[in-house]
Amino acid sequence: MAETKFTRPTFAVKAIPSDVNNVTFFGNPVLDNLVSVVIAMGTEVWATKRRMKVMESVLAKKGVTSEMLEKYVPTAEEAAAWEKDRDRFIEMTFSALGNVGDLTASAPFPKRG
Amino acid sequence: MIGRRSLFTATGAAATALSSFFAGRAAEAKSIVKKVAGDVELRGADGRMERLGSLDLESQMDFTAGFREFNNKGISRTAAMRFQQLMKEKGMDPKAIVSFDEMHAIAGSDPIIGMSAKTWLANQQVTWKSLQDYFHANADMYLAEMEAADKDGPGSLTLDANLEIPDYTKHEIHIQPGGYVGDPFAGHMYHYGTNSFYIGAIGHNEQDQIHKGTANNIPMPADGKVKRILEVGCGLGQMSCALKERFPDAEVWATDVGAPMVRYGHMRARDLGIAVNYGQGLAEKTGFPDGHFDITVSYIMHHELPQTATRAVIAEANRVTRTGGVYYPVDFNTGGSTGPAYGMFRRWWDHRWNNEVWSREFHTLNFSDEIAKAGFTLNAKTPAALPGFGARHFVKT
Repeated sequence: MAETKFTRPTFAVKAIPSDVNNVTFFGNPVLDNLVSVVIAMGTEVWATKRRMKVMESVLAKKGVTSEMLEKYVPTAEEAAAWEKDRDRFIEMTFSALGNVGDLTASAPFPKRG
Repeated sequence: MIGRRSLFTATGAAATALSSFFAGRAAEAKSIVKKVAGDVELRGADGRMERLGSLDLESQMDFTAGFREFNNKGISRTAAMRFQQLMKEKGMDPKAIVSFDEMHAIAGSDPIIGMSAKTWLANQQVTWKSLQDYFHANADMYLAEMEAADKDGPGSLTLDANLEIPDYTKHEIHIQPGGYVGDPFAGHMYHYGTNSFYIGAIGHNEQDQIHKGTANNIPMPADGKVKRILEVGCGLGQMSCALKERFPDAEVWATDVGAPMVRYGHMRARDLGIAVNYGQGLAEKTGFPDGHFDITVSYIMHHELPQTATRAVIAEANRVTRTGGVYYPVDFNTGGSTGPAYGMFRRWWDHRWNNEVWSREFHTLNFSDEIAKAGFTLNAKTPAALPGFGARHFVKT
């Protein structure tokens, strides 16, 4: 988040920042960054799941029960659309796992015709 | 024994199941927070804990509390086993007591050991960032709420715009953005962030259970007179509230260097209808008269101080506590420049990367000896007010 502009007195003074973002536990800052991403993503995923639980509870009180959700059978059109979206999600999230990088960052272009 | 790392980093082995951040809510989940002028309470309260202002933020805190326990019980155990394996490979006794340097030599840059620290710290950063982003995005509303409370009671608030804030207090302890003095919502963030610190280590504290239990265990002076109580380094004031609830007829004063901390503390006490007098000030220079207090306390403050400041605070406590009065600084047991390798690893990254800047100085001090040297007498028969922490019932002689 960009530095906040406060419109009221804050009674805060300048702190001495920690340097926690400079540490690398894996000898490669990219790996450390990826772990940070995974934790942050987990937080967001759980927040979404928990919101769904709240929605289900609210819906249940309005007559839409959990059982109705569990037993819901998608239409053929819905099933096809959801499958397509599932595959897009998998591709987007996990396709990098198939990469096998074997070039250093300074590697030149291969010879071109 | 609860070590520094047990409460604010790792948990002990006491917890047997992942607990929800919200499991500590009041039994009937009713608010006992009073509705007062200017109060912002968007989603109600569970007992004395105002619910966070958005469902998403509440859920994010739920995740980070759960992940903290998962890390402490799962990933950390793997790392501990890895230490043992590495020590065996080096021909060492896996249970050997080692120094920081020896621990570093064993661990090297082992990624399995590193994972326990990295995931813990990343989770801690998400905790703080989620809270800070929310309160900054709604800054005007929450700052106005504090402004409405500043001049209101019960209790009082005194801020000192001219206070010279020592550098040693300006660090981002626990990697909390802005630390205790540098963010206007330091008290808000500390309150909601530290709830998860307690879960798994000691127990739930959403209803100030830990503070109330500790306050109830603080010994009385032998003559039974308790007219005035002082808490220094009060943070967001949970201990001082608990002391006022135990001693409703006593004047309770509480000071902290962080204006945002005492502003939040005063606002919260006022919402709870608890009359504590909060003030921004230094523990080593309180400004109160000699012998003014019957009981002087601090709660898990000293390990955040350099040794020079700790000695100055003890001297000030001796000055403001009356003869026969009680001095009880609740804090971790000291000692610990050596230990089992994995424990030393946790102690190291807690100090260095969780930014417990002064914890090594605290742990190399004999804290109880320092207090005794200042003119207090230890009553060694009194058990620790907070189980697992140091037993430090001192009497001014």
